[in-house]
Amino acid sequence: MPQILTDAPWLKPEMIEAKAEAMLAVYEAKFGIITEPPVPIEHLIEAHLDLRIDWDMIEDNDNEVILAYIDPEAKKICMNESRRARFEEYVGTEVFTFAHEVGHWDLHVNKSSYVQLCFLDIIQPKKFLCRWNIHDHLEWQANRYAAALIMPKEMVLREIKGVDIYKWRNLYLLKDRFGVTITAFRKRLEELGFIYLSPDGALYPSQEAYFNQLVLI
Amino acid sequence: MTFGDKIRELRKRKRLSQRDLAERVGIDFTYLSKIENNKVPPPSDTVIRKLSRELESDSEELLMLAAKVSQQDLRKAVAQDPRVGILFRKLQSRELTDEQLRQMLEIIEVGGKGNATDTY
Repeated sequence: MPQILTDAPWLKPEMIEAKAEAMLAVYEAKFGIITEPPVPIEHLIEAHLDLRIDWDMIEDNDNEVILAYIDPEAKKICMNESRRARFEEYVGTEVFTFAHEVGHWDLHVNKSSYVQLCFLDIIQPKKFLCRWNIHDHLEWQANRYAAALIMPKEMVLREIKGVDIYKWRNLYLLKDRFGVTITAFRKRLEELGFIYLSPDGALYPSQEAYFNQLVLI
Repeated sequence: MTFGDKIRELRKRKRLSQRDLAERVGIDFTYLSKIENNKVPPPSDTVIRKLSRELESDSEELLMLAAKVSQQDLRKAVAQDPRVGILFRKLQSRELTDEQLRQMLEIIEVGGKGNATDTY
């Protein structure tokens, strides 16, 4: 039975990027090259990973928002139906949540342990509850993985070629192509070192460029 | 294989998401998800036929998987004609060969196009 690795190690961002890239490479070898965004995350989940998608009510509250969980034993990603309004209001949250769960599956689930000891049932969590406002290192890793999976570096590079990415209007157009939220897309460009968001909300090629223009003013 | 498993398998084969298929059939995608995960009973005959059309599958097979013959329907049929009960018992006890079953289905299908009572 697949089991959750609660003691998963710290991973460098490059390692997480590589894992997400490898996941996509295997998917593409099986189903064909993804030539343009969006990355078909639901197809990857269902056809490649053979995980079930289940929309159901998950009990939570405003202090502890749970968008989804992954149940490795049932090979199932459960999306919180009671948070449907949020998914529909912030288009792209759903895609990111799916990718986040794939991150847990790829990084934090031991898929090779087919012998389950009875006592492990007691001490091992059966589900990975993904709380929207809780950020431990496992959640951070799953987020980073999700970004790399649905906004792969090479694809982002292709899409931003010749586009002025320091203009918010263009970022909005690009995030629609990737099917993600503006926050997710902006963060991804920051992660990749393509933009810097200044404290006053403007976009620059780097922090240095921002400081340089301050000096000029 | 359950009805839900079959729908999921057919949908995956057609490379449709739950949202895509639900939209085409005119049901909510969360309802489709519950059907696929066997959390609710199979939907109505009408929805099953729409699913079968979209998934290009045999509607009779889907209806059979959905066990769309209720106990109530069965009781009613037996009350109308006791021979239905005899036939059902024979089917249950597997006294009929595959060939006999095939012939019976053929007769029923042909009869279904005309007067159903003629088939007895």
